[in-house]
Amino acid sequence: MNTRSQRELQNLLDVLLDGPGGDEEMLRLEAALGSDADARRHYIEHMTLVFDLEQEVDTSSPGEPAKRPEKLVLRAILLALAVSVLAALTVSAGLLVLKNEPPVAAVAAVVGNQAVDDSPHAAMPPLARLAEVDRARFSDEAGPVDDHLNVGAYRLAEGAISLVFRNGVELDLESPADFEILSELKVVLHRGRVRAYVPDSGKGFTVVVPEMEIEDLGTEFGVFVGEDRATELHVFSGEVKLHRDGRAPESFEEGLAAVWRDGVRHDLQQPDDSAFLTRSAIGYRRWLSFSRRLRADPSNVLYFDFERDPAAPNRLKNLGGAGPAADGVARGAFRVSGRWAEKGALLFERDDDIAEMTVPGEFDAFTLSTWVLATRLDAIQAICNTRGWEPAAHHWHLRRDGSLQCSVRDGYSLRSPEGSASAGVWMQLAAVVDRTAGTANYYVNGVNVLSCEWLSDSPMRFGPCFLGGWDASRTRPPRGFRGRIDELALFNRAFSAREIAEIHEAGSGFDSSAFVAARE
Amino acid sequence: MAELPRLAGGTGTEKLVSQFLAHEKPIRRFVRTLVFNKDDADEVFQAATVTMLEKFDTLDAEADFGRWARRIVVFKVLELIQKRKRDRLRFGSEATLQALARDAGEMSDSLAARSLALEKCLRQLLPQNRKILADRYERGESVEVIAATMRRTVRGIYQALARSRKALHDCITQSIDKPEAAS
Repeated sequence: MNTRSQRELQNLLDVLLDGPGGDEEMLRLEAALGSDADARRHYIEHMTLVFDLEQEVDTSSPGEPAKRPEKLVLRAILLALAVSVLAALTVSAGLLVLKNEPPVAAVAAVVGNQAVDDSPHAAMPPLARLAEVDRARFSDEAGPVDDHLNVGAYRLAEGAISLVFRNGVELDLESPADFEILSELKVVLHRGRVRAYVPDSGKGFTVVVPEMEIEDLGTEFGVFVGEDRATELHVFSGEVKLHRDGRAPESFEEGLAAVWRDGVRHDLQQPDDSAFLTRSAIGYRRWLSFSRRLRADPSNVLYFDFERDPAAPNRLKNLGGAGPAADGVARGAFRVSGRWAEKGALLFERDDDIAEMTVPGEFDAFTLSTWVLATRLDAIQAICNTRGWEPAAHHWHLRRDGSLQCSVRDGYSLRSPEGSASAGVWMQLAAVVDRTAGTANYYVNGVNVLSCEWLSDSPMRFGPCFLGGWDASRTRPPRGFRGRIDELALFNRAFSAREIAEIHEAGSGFDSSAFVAARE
Repeated sequence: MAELPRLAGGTGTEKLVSQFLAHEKPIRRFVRTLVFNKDDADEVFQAATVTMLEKFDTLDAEADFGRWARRIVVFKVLELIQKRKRDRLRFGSEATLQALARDAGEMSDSLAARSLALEKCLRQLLPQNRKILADRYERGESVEVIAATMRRTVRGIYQALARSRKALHDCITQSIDKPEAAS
């Protein structure tokens, strides 16, 4: 099999396994396998891989214990049980019984997949999952199990959540809300505020409210059912069909909004998009609440959220409570939107676009965390560096091969593996350097990409620092960062790997597909 | 009164259970290479298991259980093809099926080694890609639902799956050729 044939075979497998492949691709695959032993070998190896992945993919992180339940042993025990049942039936009723349906079917049911529920994931996927949660509390008797929701009644007492159904339907709910899931195509809303996003795969999804049934025809709409059971409906895009007792279905189109109270419709001027939380907005709220906790951490010495400040457009207000670090200033870099449309960030476009700040004092340990989106990876780029290169200074660069270059003067200078970082996607980068413990750890999106041991007699110092560039006034090649930075936090203690992962998790509730053009 | 045959090394039941235990994973893997559709593969495995239970007493004590089980599987796959004719995502040619069955049988040992190498190779993937693989293959989620859940595009998830499978295939092949490569 030549390289081209191998590529074609792989493309066929990709499109048949996960894409829209159908009969035509299946026939081509069969033709390729029938005539080429190498193709068959590749195919068999690949299907073996798929089989192994279907058994269990270990999603634990390095360092955590692997989770691999002994499925086969349990199945063998069940098989032994089945054989005993079979033998007993055979003994008691003679061989004729063995040929009849009931005992064979019973064995099949015990040995077959449906009955051997030997892993937490062996059952069908849940009807819906919690995809975003902000300080949510369900009432004790009516909440999801883990993050799974199936048929049943739920009461969201506090906070906000986003659910994604198996068919791709997304519901964003704000408390207080009482709702019932009847199926992946039908939900009853007794009380509360919900935004529904229904893709083509969920057409026909229906929200039942006191006044009517709202059938979706592929759209986005908001429904509010108040304590008085009046129903408000806002259609943001597409069209819904209203089913009311004894009446013909009624179309309700994009741009319309109305309230039904005691069976009477009162039209509203226009839909109010801001009255219904989106999943991104719930993710933003979750981040904001976490961010306030970070700023209040006694070890926080510097915190920039990069929000816009019309009164002082270039000032970077230090929101950190504990440290003596002053505000920073943006020079060239300017305010744009960040991970969320409503959140600010700094954009660095040219070599001399930088931000400056001063961090006084000495550090035996520090944690530096930031969210960045690099728009290109074609040169070495400074993330956050001390202005000079004095003893015990810390420098942090992104290289063109996607590695992080991390250095403490007279301590270490190391690079993470190639491809640790990517262009076109938001990444959380963190540096955790501890002189007293003699360790340094660097993370991308909560994953440790570089770890080292080192020794130093003197504490670390920052002093004047650059963000997004390094000493462009020198004649050496510029190290200007290209992209956006939307959060920067410095702490005077070493965070644990779990704390770093928490920062990443709390800041990940944004819509990454909004940046799709840059990534793909 | 009929009894299951007693073979050397224990009762018939014990023998069947121990043989099944030793061969179940290779048999399931073998089924999966012959049947593209996962639900069909489960159905074939179940039907083949029932036949093994029924016919185990006809198996010679010295016979190769794995080879015997593979023959039953091929028979069950052919039955399925006959029963369903050409439904979507099924091979229709007996010749292709027999060629795949022969090759997969011969590759049995190397496929077992590939399975063993998977875990180390998985650890080289980024956690988010491992999660996408788990959602897709272990939990059976559709690409569309994974995309909606992770707020990624369908195309992005599709590409992530294709790249991850290719990376795993290459890593496994390397680690089989050079056992230290994946460590």
